[in-house]
Amino acid sequence: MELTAFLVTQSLNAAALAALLFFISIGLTLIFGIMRIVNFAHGALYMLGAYTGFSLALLTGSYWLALVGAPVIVGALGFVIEAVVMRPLYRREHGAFLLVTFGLALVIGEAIRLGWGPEPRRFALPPALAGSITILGDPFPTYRLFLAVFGAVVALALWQFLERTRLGLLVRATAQNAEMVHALGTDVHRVRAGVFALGCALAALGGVMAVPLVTAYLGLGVGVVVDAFVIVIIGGMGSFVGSIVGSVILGVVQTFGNYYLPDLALAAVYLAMIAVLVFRPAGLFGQRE
Amino acid sequence: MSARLAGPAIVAALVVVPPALPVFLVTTLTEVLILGLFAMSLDLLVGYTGLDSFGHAAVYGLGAYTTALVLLHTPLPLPVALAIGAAVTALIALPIAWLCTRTTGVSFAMLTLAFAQLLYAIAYKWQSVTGGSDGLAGVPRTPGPLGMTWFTSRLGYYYMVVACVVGAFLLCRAFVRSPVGTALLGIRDNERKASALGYNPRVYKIVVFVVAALVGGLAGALYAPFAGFASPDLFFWLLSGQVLVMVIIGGAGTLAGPIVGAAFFYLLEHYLSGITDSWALVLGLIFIVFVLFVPEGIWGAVRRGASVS
Amino acid sequence: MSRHFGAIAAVDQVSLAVERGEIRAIIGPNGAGKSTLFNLIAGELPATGGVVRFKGAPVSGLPPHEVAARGISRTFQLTALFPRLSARENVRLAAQARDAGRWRLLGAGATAASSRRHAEHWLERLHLLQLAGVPAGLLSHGDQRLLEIAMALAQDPELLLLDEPTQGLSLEETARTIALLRELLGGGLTVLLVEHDMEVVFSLAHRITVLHQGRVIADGAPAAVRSDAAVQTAYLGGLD
Repeated sequence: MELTAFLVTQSLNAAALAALLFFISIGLTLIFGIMRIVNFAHGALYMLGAYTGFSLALLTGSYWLALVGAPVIVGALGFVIEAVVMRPLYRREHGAFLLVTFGLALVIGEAIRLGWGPEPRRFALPPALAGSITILGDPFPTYRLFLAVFGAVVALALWQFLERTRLGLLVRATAQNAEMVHALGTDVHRVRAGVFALGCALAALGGVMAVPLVTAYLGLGVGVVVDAFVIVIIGGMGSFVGSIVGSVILGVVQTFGNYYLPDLALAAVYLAMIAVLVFRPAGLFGQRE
Repeated sequence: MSARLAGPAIVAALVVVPPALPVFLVTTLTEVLILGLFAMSLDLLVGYTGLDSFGHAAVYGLGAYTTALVLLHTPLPLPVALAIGAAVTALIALPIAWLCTRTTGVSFAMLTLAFAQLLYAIAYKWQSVTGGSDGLAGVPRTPGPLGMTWFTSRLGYYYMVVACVVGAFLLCRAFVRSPVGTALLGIRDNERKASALGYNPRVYKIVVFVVAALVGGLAGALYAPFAGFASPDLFFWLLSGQVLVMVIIGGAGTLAGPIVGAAFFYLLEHYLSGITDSWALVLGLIFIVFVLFVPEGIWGAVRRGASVS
Repeated sequence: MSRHFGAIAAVDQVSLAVERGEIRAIIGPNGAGKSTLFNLIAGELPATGGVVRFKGAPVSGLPPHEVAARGISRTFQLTALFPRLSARENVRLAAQARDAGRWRLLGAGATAASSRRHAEHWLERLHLLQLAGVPAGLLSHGDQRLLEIAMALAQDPELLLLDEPTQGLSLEETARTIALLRELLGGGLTVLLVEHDMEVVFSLAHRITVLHQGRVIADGAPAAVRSDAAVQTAYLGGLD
C-alpha cells in the first residue's frame, strides 16, 4: 500500500474514532463545567443510547429514526435523573455525587442486561452508508467517513450554540458563576437540568453511532468512559475546545498506536495524560480553579 | 455497651468465633477484613486530608503483584513477602505522591486515576513479568521464618489477616492523633490557613499519601496469597470507585467506618447476587437511597444514634 | 515594593519600615492596597518589584509557611479557621506549628501536651475557654474573629499582621476587642494593623501610614495624620 494512501485512510479512521469519543467526552465536560460533578454514569448512558438505538432501528426499520430517537429518549431520562436524584444534592459535598453516579451506572447497566439480555446487538446500516468508497485507490467504509463528518458537524453546531445563542451564553455564564446568574433572575436549576439532559443525549448519540462499528454489548460503557475521562483530563475539565482536541489526540494515538506499537499504545495514552497534568495541572485548555 | 469496650469486644469476637464457623464464612470474613484494611487506608486521604483519590486501586495492585512476585520467585517466607509488598508500594508511591500533590481537587483525583490506569496498562501488557491478562496464578503461602507454618492453613491465614488489620488500625489511629495527623485535619479544613500557620501542605500531603500507600499496599499484599493470584483487575478504576464507595458509605474520617462500609458493600453484593440475578440493580439503588437519606455514612449514623440515646 | 495586576498597580512603590515593638496602623479607603500589601508580606502573592526584609533578612519570595516559620503571624480579612475542628484544636494547631515535635508521626506525646497548655492559655486570655469544645464553624462571628487572634498569638509571633480585626463586629464587640488588644499587644510585640474603624486605629496605633491608590500619601504619629489635609481629601473622595 502506498504511504500517502495509508496515512490518509488511517487519519480518517482516527477522525471517526475521535467523533465517537467527542460525543461522550463533551457531555462529561459540559456537565462538569456546570455542576462540578464527575458523572460516573456517563458510560452507562452511552451504552443505553446504543441499546435504545438498536431497538428503535428494529421497531421502525429506520437507522435515521434510531439516530434521532435514542438521544431524545436518553436525554429525557437525563432530565428526570437530574430532577429526582441530583437536585437534592447540590448543597452536599461531592462525595455524594460520586456515590450516586456510581449507583446510577450500576442500575442502568443492570437494567440494560435485564432488558436486552447478554448477547451483543447490532443493526443494519441504510444502503447509502453501508458500502465503501474509494480513496486514493483503496476502499474505505462509507460509514466511518460519515461518522467523521457528522462529528465535525455536531461539534460546529454545539460551538455555535454556546457562542452565539442567548441560551448558550446562559450556559457559559452558569459555568462561570452560578450564583451570579441566579441573582440576575435566571433559574439555575433549569440550566443545570438542561445541560445534564443535553450531555446525556450526546452520550446516547455516540452510543447509537458506535453500534455499527463495535455492536452494542454489556461492557461498552465501562471501556468508553475511561477514554472519556482521559480526554477531559488532557483537554481540561469543563473546556469545550479541550474536549475536541483531547478526542482527536486520543483518536490518533489509539489508531496509529495500535498499528505501530500495539503493546505500548495503552500505556502511551496514560503517560500522555500524566505528562499533561504535570505541566498543566488543569489540562491543556482548562482553567485553574 | 460503651464505645471504649466496643473495639476490644469486636477483636475478641474476631479471634474466638471463627473456629466454630463453616469454612466458607472464614473465607468471607478474611476477604472482608482485607477490603476493610484497604478502605481504611483510603480514609486517611479522603476523610482526614480531604484528598479524593480516584486511583487507590494502584496501591492494592502494587502490593498484590509485589508480594505475588516475591512468593513465586524467591524462597522468602510469607511474613517477609507481605512486608516487602507494603514497603515497595510505599516506595513507588513516593514519586507518584510528589507529582500528584502538585495539583488539588478534581485534577488531583484525575491524576491519581491516570497513574492507576498506567499501572493497569503495564500489568496488562508486560507479559513476561506480570503474566499479562492472565495475571500471576499459584501464589504460595511460603512457611517460615523460624519454621512457622500456622498461617498456611485457611484459618491460620485468617488470623494473619486479623493481626495485620488490628495492628494497622492501631497504627493509623496513632497516626491521625499525632501532631502530623492534626495538621492533616487542618489542611483538610482550610489549606490556606494551615499554610499561613507555618505548615507546608505539600509535604504533609506527600507523607499521608505514602502512609496510605503503605497500609493499602499491605491490604493488596494480603490479598495475593489469600486468593492465590493477582490480576490486572486489581489496578482497574472500577476497584478505585468501589473502595471510595466503601469509605463514603461507612463514614469518611472515622477509620472504623470504612471497615464497616467495606463489610456492608461486600456482604450486600454477595447476598444480593445469591438471591437475585440483578444484584447490581439493587446495589445501585441502595447507594442512591443511601446518599439521599444517610449522608454521614453508617458509622456516623451509629455514632449519632449512640450520642442521642 | 510594588505589586501590579496587569496594568493596575495595587501596591505602587510603597516603602515602609516598622520598628521593633511598634504598633503600626495602615489605613486607606477601599482598594487602597492594604490587603494586597499584607498578602505580599505574608508570601501569598509574589511581588512584581521590591523586597520585604524581616530582621534584616529578605523574606519576599518565600512561600507562606516559611514566612510564618520566621515568626510572622497573620489574621485574614475574611475569617479563616478550621471550621470542623473545635476552638481548642484550632489554637492547638497554631501553637504546634513551630514546636519541634510537630513531625511526630505516631501518638500524641509531649508536643500535644505542651501545645494544649499553650492553647488553653490563649483561649483564656481571649475569654474563649468556655467555648473551647465547640467546632469553630459554629461559633458566632465575633468569637470567630477572637479565635483567629488567639491562633495568631499562640504562634508566638515576633511580627503580627492583623487584617481588620473588628470587621463585621457590633459596637459592643468592637469595644471589647479594642480592650483586649490593648491588653494583649502591650508586651513589645510588633504589629501591623489594617483597619477601617478609626476608633480602633487611634486607640491602638503608635504610628499610622495612609495608603491611597497603592501609594503612601501620609505617614506619622496619629495626631499628625488626623490633621493631614491629603488624608482628609482622600477619605472624602476628593482625590479621584
